[in-house]
Amino acid sequence: MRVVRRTFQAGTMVVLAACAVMSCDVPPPQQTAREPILRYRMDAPPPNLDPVRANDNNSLFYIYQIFDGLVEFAPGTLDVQAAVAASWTISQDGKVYTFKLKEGLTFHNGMPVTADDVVYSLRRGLTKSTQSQKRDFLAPLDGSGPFWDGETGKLPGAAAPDSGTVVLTLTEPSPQFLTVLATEAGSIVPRRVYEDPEQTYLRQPVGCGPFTMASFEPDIAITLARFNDHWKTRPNDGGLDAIRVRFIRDASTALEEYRTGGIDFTYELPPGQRAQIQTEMPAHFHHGKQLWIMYLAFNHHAGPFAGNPTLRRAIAHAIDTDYIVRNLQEGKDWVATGVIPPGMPGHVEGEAPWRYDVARARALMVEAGYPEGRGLPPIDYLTNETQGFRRILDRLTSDLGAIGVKLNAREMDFGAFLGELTAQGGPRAPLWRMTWFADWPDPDNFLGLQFFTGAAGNYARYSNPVFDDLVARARRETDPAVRADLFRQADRVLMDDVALVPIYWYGSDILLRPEFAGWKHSPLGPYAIAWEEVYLDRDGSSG
Amino acid sequence: MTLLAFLSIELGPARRSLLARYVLAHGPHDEDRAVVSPPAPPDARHWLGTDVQRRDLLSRLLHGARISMQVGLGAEAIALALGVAVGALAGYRGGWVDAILMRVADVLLSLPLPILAMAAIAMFDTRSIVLIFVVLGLMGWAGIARLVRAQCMSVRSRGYPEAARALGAGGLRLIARHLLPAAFAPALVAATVGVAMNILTEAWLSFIGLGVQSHSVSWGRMIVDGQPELTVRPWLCVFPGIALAVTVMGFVLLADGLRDALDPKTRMATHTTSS
Repeated sequence: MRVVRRTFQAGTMVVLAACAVMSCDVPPPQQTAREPILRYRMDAPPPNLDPVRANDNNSLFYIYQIFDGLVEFAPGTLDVQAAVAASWTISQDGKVYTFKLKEGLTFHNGMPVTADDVVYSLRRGLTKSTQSQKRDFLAPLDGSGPFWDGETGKLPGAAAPDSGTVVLTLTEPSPQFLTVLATEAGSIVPRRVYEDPEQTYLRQPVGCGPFTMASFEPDIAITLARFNDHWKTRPNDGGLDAIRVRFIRDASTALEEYRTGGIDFTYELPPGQRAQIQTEMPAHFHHGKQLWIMYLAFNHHAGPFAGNPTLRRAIAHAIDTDYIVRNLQEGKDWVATGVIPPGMPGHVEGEAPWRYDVARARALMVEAGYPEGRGLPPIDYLTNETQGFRRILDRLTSDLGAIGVKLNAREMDFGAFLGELTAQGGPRAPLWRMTWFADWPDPDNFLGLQFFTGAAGNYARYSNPVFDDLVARARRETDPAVRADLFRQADRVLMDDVALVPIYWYGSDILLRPEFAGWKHSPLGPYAIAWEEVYLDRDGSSG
Repeated sequence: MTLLAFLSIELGPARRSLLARYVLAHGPHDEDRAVVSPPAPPDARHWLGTDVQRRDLLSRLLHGARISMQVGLGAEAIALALGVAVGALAGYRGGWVDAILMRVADVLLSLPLPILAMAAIAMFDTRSIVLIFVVLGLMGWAGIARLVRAQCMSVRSRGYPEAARALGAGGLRLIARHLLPAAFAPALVAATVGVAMNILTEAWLSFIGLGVQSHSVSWGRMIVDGQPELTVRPWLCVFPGIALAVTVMGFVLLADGLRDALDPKTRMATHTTSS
């Protein structure tokens, strides 16, 4: 016992000493004249710096800064504007796009940007051996299928008649094609660098975007330096000279680093602190919308929900989405009332087609043949395991339990979860949670890719001829207003059929020091903010 | 404290207690819809506050004790049974049997239990409490086996087992009546510490997302759920943390006490001092 007592005494001394050290005041950071450098926080290093492989937000941040395409999204909007292209024309039948390049543009290594580089870059996106993830993006190009399959080395859809002209030919009109070209799939790389078999470009990417890769310290930081020969004029007093990205995995640590002046930008605030941060730093806190949705997906091929819209509607009425958004998501997100998110053409404004109503849900359970859940086997529910989704699972378990539906949760890592969804023959579980974000910001990417009969992302194997017809017509439609309306109708068809239960559209919270001015939220998310437009407002004149 | 709380849930008569009435009033999964802005801090209605789903934290803490105890005791029961059997066999037989069994034990001892358990559990798609304590039990027997073996070998070298053999005692009788009683006390002490280690390992597995699956209440899971909000809503994380620390320390102290009580030398010294 004496040993234990001594251990206690020693332990107490250590704890007291630690408390004393921690309670000492931390000296404030030295105030020096600010250099125009943005200290950016990211949770982890980018998995990939190759634009054809990049598929995650961390990687895409670098892609958007380092590379330019023929066109780009105007800052803060989904409008497409010229980038490397000076101008373009579209043929009468909507199939041929002719781009004239700006003159005198160079890559970061000083090589000139030519039409041949543009064509090469698009061909890379359709080349299997590059491990490209952009096949779906560039599929409208004529001959993309045989080229991808390796049946031919020719891609008639992309041609460079001279060094300043690019001609892109589509198999059929695609009103969303310019939008696709404004994403990372349209990034232009210098052919001579990216043909290097050593693949040095994976660590030292070369583009013609507003920032160059200046240094890469693995697991510590990446510094992007301003590309002085970029075609855009610098904002106000010159804009940012550099962006120094530090990797700070934990959001709470990042917040403390922000508070003590170590970083200028962070996103993904730690849970439970949103309201406090808003009060504490109102001039630093910014909230935007993202083209993401989280929803509950039903298996339409097998299981109790297939062919039973009444049961699906009962589930929809039983879930308290307001509670989820207000309390679990702390008000960061929006209650989803459809599939197409706000800010995207085709979004339906207004109320949800159903409300949280337990009495109505119970009545529908009776109508569906499962009064108080009797006769309904426990429902296998798939989810990947994160803290946020575990909270959602707890909520669903409680809400559905109230109408007699018992969930048998199967939590798994993301790889296993994706494996279940893409399994041969489709997922076996009747219910799962799903997050979808815009690969390219077009309603077809949200509706067509997920719910069109036989579509690659239609894991639920939903099939509805009325919906398919609306989407098919929208795909052909060139009038933007008519096209948006067709997608709006298609969205309503999904809701009327309770093909899914939308839970929330994502928002994004960021903290950015108020002295940085000239920036705009990107609908794509914080990763796509046009930092080249941002400048340091030293005297606060920007307001 | 935790053990008492655990028993108060498990045993019928204890339901009349104040604690049990409280627990019955707030089930671990029951929502208190009167809570306006969850998670609610501790107050008279919810002594330890609520979580973000408006569930009473004290009730969940007490029910979480069940998982911790089940894992701690269940896993150690398996480890104890295996360890005693392997240790006794190795100590009694010696030779190549001893060599093989002890090399297996050495391999297990050379690997950290949590990492080993993590690798084993990660192979399974779903994670039940039975899986967790079976894995921990199967991984945790080596220390006890080594202890029992050493005791058996020590006793074997003395005269009385030889005498028993000369009187016709068989191997099983020799082990059960003469070797194991000598190994009982140290094995029990080691197993008691093992319970504490298992509870910690279960909490750690839950912390990294490999513990029992959702809807089971576990202290490790409560800690990981509350940890990001430690600075703003400390009650979510601190109370399960305290419960875990107190329980683990309780088992360590129990082991200490058992050792004092069962060790003849200590008993003799205490007796001599007191007289």
